[in-house]
Amino acid sequence: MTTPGKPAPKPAPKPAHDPIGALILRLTIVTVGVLLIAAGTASWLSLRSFDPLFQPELARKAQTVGELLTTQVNRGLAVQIPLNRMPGLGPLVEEEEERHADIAYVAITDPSGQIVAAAGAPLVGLKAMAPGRVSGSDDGRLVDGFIDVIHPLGDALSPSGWLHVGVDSAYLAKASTNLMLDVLSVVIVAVLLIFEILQLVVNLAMRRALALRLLADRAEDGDFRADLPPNTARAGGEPDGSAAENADIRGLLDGVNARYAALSARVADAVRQFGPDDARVKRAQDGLAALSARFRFRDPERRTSGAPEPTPLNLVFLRLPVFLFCLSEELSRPFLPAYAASFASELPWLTPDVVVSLPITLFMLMWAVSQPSGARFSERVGRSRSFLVGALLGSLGLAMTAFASSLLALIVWRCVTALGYGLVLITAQGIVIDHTTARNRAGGMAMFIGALLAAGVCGPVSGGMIADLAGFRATFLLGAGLALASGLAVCVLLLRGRSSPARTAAAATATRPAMGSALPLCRDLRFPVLMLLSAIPTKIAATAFLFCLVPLLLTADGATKAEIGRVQMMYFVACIVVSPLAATLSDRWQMRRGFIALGGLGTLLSCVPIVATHALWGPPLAIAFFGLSQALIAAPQFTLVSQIAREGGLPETAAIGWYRLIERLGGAIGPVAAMTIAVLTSYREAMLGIGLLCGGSALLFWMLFTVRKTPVARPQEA
Amino acid sequence: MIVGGGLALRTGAVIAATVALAVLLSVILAGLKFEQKLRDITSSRLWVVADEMRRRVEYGLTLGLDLSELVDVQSQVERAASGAEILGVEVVDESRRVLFAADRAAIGQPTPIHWGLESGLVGDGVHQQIVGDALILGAPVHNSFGQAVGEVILRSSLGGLRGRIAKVEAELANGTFILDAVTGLVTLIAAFLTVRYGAVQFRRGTAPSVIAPHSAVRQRLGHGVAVADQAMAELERDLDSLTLREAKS
Repeated sequence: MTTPGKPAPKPAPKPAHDPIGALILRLTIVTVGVLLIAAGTASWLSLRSFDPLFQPELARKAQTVGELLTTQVNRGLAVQIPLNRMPGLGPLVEEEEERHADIAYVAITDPSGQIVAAAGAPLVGLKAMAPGRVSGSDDGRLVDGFIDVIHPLGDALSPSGWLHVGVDSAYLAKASTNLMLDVLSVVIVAVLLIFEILQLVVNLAMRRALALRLLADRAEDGDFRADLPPNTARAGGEPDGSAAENADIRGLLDGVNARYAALSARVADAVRQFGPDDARVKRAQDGLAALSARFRFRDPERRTSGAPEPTPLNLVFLRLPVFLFCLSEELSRPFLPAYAASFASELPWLTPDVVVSLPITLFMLMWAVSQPSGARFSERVGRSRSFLVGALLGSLGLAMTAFASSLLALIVWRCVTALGYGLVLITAQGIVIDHTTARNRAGGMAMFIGALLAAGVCGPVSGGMIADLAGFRATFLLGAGLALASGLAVCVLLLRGRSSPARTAAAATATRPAMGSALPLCRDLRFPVLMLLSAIPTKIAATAFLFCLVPLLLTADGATKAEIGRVQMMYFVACIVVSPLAATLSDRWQMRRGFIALGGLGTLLSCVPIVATHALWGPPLAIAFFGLSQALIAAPQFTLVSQIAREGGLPETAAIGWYRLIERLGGAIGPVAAMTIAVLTSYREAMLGIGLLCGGSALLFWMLFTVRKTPVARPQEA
Repeated sequence: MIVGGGLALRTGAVIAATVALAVLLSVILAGLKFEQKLRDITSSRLWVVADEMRRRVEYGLTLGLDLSELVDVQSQVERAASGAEILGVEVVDESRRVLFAADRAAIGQPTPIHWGLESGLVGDGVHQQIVGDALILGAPVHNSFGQAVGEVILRSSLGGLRGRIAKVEAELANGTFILDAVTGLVTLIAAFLTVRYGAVQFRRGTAPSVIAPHSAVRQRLGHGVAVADQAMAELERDLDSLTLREAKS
């Protein structure tokens, strides 16, 4: 529709990069630097303050152990058995030394200091142990490093020998690795929190500039409906906002809308004057329809009714509510299986492992099933109310989970939480779809997914520490508070005084699967192959590993909840790091099938560090590798669904809706499958079993999924 | 616009508050962890006592006697309870009735101690819970067939330990306050300078044009409007010709 002879308007300059993003990045780097130094100093200060308390406490422990051992040895001495001929002294001291992690050595010497029996690394190779050597001789091994508690054996006045119990005087510093990891976790959580807060603060402070930028974005997309927000002039202390500038921008928008309104009126007049059957009138009507399809103008009726024009919505403000809500649920991740297991005695006919899987499975099932109806609900009642209802349900569910008195109550309240969780997530996706166009939807979804991943990193590690220090109940209640805060945040930040934009058909179907599209999708065999051999096994592994097997396995190995949280955090850290890279490379190299197969095999390989070793580094490495493998799969899988739909001439949004529903049903199967295998074998073997399922499926997928070399744009929904 | 003193101060204040909070949380976390570690050491010391008591009771059971028939356990219980900070030692049967106790008045009564959800396990199935200032340990007693027939329960005061910790915490609080204040100030200055650096860059024209909204927005908006105007102009010409022809006819 360009006029011949008239040059097309010059393209507007595009920004080189996002200056707000650059500012937030610089601030985050500065903050991380200060925070690391400050947190390190704080830890050193605490260590220095508490260290003097430990030595007397350790000495008392050594004293108690020494007294009990002395009593046992004295029984032998009382019946005239000399120390060097007393049987079982060696095993006795070895057993005692092994039983106490804080005792460095136990030794029995004769009156001259010759060792009769000894256990503990510091004494290896020593033959004699004169009292002077322990506290300050030149031996080099026992100098100054130990608190040596000595007990006379036999008669106290002329002892038959001496019992030495040694504790490491640097025990606290050496035992503080766990604490250092906890502090590091606090730093990571603080950095992510600061990042979230910074996004909010900077975007709030620059809201006028951002509102203008959104206006410009929309105008470039041909959408002229929006108006300047009424209260943005000079908002946030911005120095250069002026009424004249605003009037200029308003004038441009009003002008183009007025011209369109006048044009519509002229076409309507022409219809009245010449009749609708006139060929020229038809041409004018077609021209107007083409204009309406290409551009979006204000509805003249809306203006006459006095309704305000919608102002552009900055989706950064969606991040915080979504982050808070997901954080509320993620807090309970490290201990939920252990919490569920505490109700196992109620159902003696079910094994504890099956009992553990029930609330998790039903949560996933309820989440999956609630998605279509949740989408319809949020469309009917409005996004704001729907988000608030979801947040309230989540809050109620978490609060009541804290006070669950039976397994049935636990399951019911977990299902209520799942309903809220599903409703909030589907509503948040709806908000993104409502307020984005095809051009910027991927950015909006990235914002949403960024909040999910940040909550995934912060939640388990914080929840584990809080549960260790304050208990399960307090952690659930904190989660309930956060869920409530997310509901309030969405009302205050995002939707206060904002009318919902008109829903488009695409937006209405984007968040829920259309039932009629399932059959045509399945006619292309690639879709069922992708679902059965990749989407479902991947989600089975995700829920089985992350929500069930890892917490239970680590609990069984004696890990604290904070340690479990740290291990679970590794999954999300790997996802944050690898996901964007995998998405870009799989698109660039057109190797989506390869990435999916590699991710499936990677899932199998990720079991190796847990199955093959009991070392401390095994679980975090395995889960980091597992997160990496899952990150390889997510984006290519999603792109293939979109590609299949596009090639089959089917609506992409419906295909994506089905894909999400099917993979979430796979997620519901995960805990049951894992616990069934675990009941028959062990947690480690259950992991291996699920890993084999993923690895085998990946190979089959590689063989059965046929590739068509069609370049596909990155889909707009996630 | 924008990257002026107001934003710099506001952003700096928010970051400083969050960093100060994180530092405070680190100290609190470290304090709680160290306190927990100290309690663990105390608990493991008392576990040694409870375990020894259990061993002695189990040794008696190997002789074929019933738990309630081990008469020498009463004196052992009283001896164990004489230790510093130990509040009481009891031996209960499987119905949780007290058979032997340092406090003889408790004998024959049901024990008020039950192991709930918040109780933990310390070595060899020994239960542990903290109620107020009391640390309670329970070591299960097994007969020769491995069946649990009772429990040795030991209660100890954590009052002394908590007093010592409170003293250290009071000293630590002063240091933390200074550290927090310094950290907050440094963060505020660092954030302020970072934002101001952005402002200087902007004034020198090195920042991207999008920061200056009016000129850039005006240009982009103008471009969008121009495209729409062009499209509308064509339709207007069609309508003009229609009206003109009608007027001529």
